[in-house]
Amino acid sequence: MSQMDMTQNLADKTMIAAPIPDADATIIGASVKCPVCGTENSPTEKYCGDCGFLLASTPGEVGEVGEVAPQPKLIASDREHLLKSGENTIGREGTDVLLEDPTVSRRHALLVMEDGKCFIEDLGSTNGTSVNGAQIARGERVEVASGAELKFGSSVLTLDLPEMPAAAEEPAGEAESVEETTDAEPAELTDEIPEVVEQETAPDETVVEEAEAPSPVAQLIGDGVEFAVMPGTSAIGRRGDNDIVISGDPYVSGSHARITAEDGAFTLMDVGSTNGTVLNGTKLEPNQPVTLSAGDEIVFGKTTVKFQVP
Amino acid sequence: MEQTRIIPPGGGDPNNRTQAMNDFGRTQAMTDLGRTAMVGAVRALEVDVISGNRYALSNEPSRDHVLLQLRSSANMMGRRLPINLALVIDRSGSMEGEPLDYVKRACGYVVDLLDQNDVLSIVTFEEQVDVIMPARRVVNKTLLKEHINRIEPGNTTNLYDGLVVGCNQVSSVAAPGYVNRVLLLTDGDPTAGIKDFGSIVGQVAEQKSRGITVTALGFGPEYNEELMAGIARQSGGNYYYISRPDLIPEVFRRELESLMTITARNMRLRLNLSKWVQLRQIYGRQPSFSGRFAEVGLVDMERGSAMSVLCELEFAPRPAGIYRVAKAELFYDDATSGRAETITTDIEFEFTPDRSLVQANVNPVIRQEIEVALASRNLEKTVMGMKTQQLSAMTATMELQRTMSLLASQGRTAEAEEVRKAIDSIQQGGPGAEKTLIGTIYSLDQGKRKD
Repeated sequence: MSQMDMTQNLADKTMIAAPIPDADATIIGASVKCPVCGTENSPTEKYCGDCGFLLASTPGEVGEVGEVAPQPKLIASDREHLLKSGENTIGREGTDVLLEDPTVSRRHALLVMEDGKCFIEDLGSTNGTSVNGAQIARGERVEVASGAELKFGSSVLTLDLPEMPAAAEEPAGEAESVEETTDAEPAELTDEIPEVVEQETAPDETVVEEAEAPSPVAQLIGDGVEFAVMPGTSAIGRRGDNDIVISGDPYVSGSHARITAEDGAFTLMDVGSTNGTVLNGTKLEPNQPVTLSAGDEIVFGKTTVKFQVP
Repeated sequence: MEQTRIIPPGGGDPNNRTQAMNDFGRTQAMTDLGRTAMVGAVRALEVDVISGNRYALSNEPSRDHVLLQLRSSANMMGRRLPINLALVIDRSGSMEGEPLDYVKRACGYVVDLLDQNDVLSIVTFEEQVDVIMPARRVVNKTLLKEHINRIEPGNTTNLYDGLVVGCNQVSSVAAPGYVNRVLLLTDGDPTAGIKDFGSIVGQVAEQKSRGITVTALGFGPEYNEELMAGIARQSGGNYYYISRPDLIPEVFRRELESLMTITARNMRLRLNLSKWVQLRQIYGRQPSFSGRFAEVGLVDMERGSAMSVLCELEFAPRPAGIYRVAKAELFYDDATSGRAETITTDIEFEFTPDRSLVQANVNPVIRQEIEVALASRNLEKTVMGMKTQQLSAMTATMELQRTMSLLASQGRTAEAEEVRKAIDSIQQGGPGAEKTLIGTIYSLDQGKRKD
């Protein structure tokens, strides 16, 4: 029997034995787990359906399992443009962000990513640059926040700045495994590791303000769970791509709510979750931000947490 | 045959060039053209994927290029596709005399070349539009020529209505399996009816969505080359600049030859990108985006031709390993197999932390393709500089000479020759340079080559 036939049979068998798949359930049986991202794939697939990994091959030695940190980006109606740290030129030709729009100048504007902040500057474009509807002066450098609507000529894009993947998300145990695999990496990293390991003994402490990594500005503390709130906007939900992942509660939506921390003030917003967000006993209107104060009680689905500001 | 294929460094790395697999499972019977299609029949097209590098750096953002090279077989397989053609002729006052005489001769020539499986209609326009001959099979050639000889010069130029009536003639008999084409010839700016660029090109786009392609023929020094090239570009038809009346029949012959050798039509290329991959650009083309898909329409291909589609991709940081960055699917109607075909191919990169490995495996073929793509942008700037008179004749000539030698060194002899013609006409003080160059830019952007 050829290999082809065997695969075929295997696939047939699984089909018969398996119950109707539930989208959320883990698929059991003859599936192949992607060693890079953990997605289960049908044995007939050559590449991982999620990340494209060639399933017959082995990942590299420094394969850090798990999702890659989300990158800052500019989101257009139909596509996304990734932003790198430092300067990103925006224009119609040969720029970092390419906008094929005749109302965009060849070299139109500049986005500078620095210390997790983003600044914009118009480079003397013909049709101008505006931030949230307000035109900016040529040569002026303006800070822009995540979610800002940027307009170049007639092209409109939304700035999306993910928070740094917080250390609080990954328990210190994770850091140890990093230590083992990064023997060849520069001293910068190895310097930091003992410090992180020490933190393990006192997990309640906020991470020392050491490197440029932003430190949490608040915490959500519940029954056996604890989440760090980082500066800027944190997405909250059950799915893995949120900044704060509440994985144990099926009543939490994939994308549930959002907390924004800015200049010492905090707001909470439900983003249209199925079971709602309750603040101090009052259910929030979806997409209406409300102010958060220290000591507030928040319920996401069936998960209750206290909002605490150190 | 232009088979100078450079072997990528590292001794012809098989991973750098993936031969597309035939996806027989997905072929579906198109219209029956009265031919028995065999299972797994020979197809007109082959697709090669050439990546800028077999490797990419892991764990950091990076960019690279992928070249999709489409090639059609030079062999004549089976019958040619039947043609449903409308000739849309400007008979405004300025066409009087020699030009119109040569146009009549050229139309008669078209009649001679077509046969009874083809459909022909003839429309003339000036202030008003006349259907000289409604769409019908090319049977009584003598009668057809009599109609042609009755064309008389008129007054103004109502190009828009002429175009619409011509397209309607084609669609009145539209049958699947035909090459639907309008040949639009004019010598001037539109002066009557709808005249603005946006409306005319918008109409062309609508006709394209109905399967009708417009080839734009600009004659003499007065026509609007931006409009005519814009029409061709919008519909994927050809653009010609005809500098002298006696060249009209020759250009009609070339266009007919091109139509009669079409082997792949209605081509659409779709890239299904892995979720951490962004398509930065496809050089010279404007893809549409939707989720993880990017799609672009491609012009028809003739026998023995090649087309390059050069894509630039951007990768978010990846752990080391071999990944499919995108799946490319080419959908088209194949004249050889007589069916709608799909060619699917996977684009792979190996992500590695080894910087020297990445540096040692840069593929020079891609560098050359980028040079050619940039030559097109340079020509665009030169033309713009000439139009706005920001470039002196001397500076423009120097710029063009540079571009010409670059094109010649990249084996783009046909385009280099066109640039040379443009230089000649600048030196003679004639108006032809911009009209020639706009066609060169278009053909470079199409990425098509005749082998």
